[in-house]
Amino acid sequence: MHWGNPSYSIVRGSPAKTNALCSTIAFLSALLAILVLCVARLTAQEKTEQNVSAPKPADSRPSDDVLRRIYPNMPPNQDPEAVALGKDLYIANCAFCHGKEATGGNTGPDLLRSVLVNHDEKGELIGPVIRQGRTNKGMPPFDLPDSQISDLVAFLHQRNRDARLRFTYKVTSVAVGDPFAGKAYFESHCASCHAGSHDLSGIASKYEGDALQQRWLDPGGQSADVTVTVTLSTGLKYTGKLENLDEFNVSLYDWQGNYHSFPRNSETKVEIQDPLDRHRKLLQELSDKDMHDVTTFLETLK
Amino acid sequence: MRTFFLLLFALLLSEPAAAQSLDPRDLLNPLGSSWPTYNGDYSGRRFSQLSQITAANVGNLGLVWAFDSGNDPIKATPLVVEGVIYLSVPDKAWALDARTGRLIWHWENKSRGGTHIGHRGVAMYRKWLFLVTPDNYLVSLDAATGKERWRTEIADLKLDYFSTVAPVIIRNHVLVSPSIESTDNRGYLDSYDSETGKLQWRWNSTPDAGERGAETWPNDEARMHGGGGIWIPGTYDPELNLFYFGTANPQPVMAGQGRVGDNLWTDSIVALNPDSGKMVWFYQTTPHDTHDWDSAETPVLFDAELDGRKRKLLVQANRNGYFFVLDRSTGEHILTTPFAPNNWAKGLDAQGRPIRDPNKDPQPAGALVIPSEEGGTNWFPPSLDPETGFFYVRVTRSVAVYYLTDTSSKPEAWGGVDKTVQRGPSSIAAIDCKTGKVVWDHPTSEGAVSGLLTTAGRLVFGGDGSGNALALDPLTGRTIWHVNLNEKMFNGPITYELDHRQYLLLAAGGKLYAFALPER
Repeated sequence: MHWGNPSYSIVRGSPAKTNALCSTIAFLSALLAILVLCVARLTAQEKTEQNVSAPKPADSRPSDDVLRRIYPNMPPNQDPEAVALGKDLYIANCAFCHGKEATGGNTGPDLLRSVLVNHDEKGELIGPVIRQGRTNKGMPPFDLPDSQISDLVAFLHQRNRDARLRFTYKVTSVAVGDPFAGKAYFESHCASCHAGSHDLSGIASKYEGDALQQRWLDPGGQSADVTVTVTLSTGLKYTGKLENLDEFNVSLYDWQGNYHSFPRNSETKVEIQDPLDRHRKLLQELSDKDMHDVTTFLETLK
Repeated sequence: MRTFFLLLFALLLSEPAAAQSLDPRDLLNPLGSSWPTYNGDYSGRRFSQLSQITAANVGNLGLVWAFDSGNDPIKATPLVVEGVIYLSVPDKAWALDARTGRLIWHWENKSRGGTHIGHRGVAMYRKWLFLVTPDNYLVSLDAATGKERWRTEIADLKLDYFSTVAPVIIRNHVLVSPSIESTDNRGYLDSYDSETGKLQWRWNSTPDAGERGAETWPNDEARMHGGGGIWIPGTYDPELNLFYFGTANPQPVMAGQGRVGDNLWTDSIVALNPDSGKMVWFYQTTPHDTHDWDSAETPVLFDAELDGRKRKLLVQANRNGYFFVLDRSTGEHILTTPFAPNNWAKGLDAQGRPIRDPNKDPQPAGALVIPSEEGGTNWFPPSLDPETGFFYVRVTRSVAVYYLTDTSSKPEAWGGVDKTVQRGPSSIAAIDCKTGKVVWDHPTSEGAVSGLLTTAGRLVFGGDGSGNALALDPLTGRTIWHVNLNEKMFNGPITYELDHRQYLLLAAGGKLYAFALPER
């Protein structure tokens, strides 16, 4: 590091406040920021911009608050009872023209892409269209009571929200392979490590579907503990959990929990033991068939 | 006495002599003491002529000042014009003294919402600044005071559009475009009058009915909701009077069964006339994208002699893992080479476009795809050093399982998800623009997201995943200097000169740091 000029100043964007309320707000903001950073699936544009460093298990879902922080315009979750009633009403009255999924049919437009539906908050725009119809476009009026209109609106907004939020998408089935081929692959590629205490019996009871597939492809969730051993020129060795490794420094927590850091140079030997190294290598060579076969085999280990 | 008051009145009305101003003609000059646009100049090279800081003395760099903008990471590239820095994050902008980092003014948008995920920066024209807000306003500010001059709504927030791009100004055209989140919308690029904020023209990312390219969509519904947001500022060749930019992915993002065909002009590099808004040529880098590859990355302009002919070139390192070289006068394809590992393409077609392997489309039970949706590279600004002829780019090697979740004949929005199973490693690579070959590849700690800068001082500046700012040798990739700022660099570093002193301006997290050599 070369902080050559000793006389520097840090200028803040807004006057520094140090009272307790501000500290609390700062803490809550930081907490929210951490939650936001934990959201593993972000926008088409800029998922990488969130710099997601610690993905969570595949089945976890961010809270509604976190989602609204990222997507303030997301339609809010609707009352599930109203959505269920609205769905029945929709199927009975609307699906014939607008399609079973509200994505449009032969005669009715897609209601998820509809400007009117997207601009509607609580039925103030959708309601009158249902009641008055659009006779010039072939839509008849529907004489429905307020409560039913409100249920239909709840269904449409929930449907819209679920389509927009890929966090909520469900993977249907991953067990589409050949369990016997999967077993053979497992025995030739995995069994040497996965015996005894590392054996995988019961894994399918802990993880289901795509969570199981995610788990065996990436068991550490990218954050598995990597062991590092640093040997100094004196012969002194430090071993522990890797904290950071870059071109210039290496840092670790030893098994007693003490932190150590060392410069990287010709006198410092750094050895990395990544328990998931084999898994990472596998990702480069694994075929889709092998992946499906192994997942299907693992599904049998209830 | 009356004359005196009239004179005083006239004096009060006149502008302060010191107000910063940028003549758009200045943008035609090579990048010198200032940094007046997102990429510094129109070429997108992010190469500065400044050479006070060199490989020999970079080790003496010291911190001159720092500025803390708050918790939002700085992803924008600041501007530097006449001793003032203009910095922005979503909904906020600051003017700072480039000598001291002291705050001159602060502006904040009272937001109606919108996705607050990124923001590329402000643009300047004469004494006015322009920026977009997440809730889809193009706002013009007085550069001297930060006072709002006007605002124009550029997209419908309720339809899920949001805005992050840094405006590009060509004469009196302010070019901006909204980003698309998940709702199936049509992307577009707008030109607004720099004085009045009135719309001059709109170019749509998908063709109108009957227009050439409409045949690459199965029906009007798919075409009119086909995506192609434009979210990274483009580049400009004043001689050809062509504006170049990349369009993003088609919609629905990962489920392609409802939009069979190439889906023009999504995932394309487009050249258009900024006066008329008419497209002159296009080149599609991923036909029928199902992986969210985009073609948004900066198209960088560069002239070189190829096979004995002097050529006007356009080069782009694409998120899909391929490096493209085109003739920017005509759009003629010259070269495609892979710069990052991929398994989604089976090879290249006669026009140098990657041929998609349908087996690597998202599948109900998953398809293992290299790279992940993060791509071989992403929005981080690359750099091109005309002295080495090398293109410098941030590279990531990742793997993901892509699932198709909407198997209906008319999917919506994403229609699928990808789950990353490997995130790294990452590196900074140098690519020879004439051959497309990777000349060197400098591994950096994982998770690095910085942009890059090259200078006539023969240095490449960037950052790693551990909070280090780096200076590398442009010919070999060897590390010459580093400083740990303990937060990652999210934007592209820039440089400027003030009082005959060259400054290096780095952002780490939400803080801005100005470095320079010791005063003599």
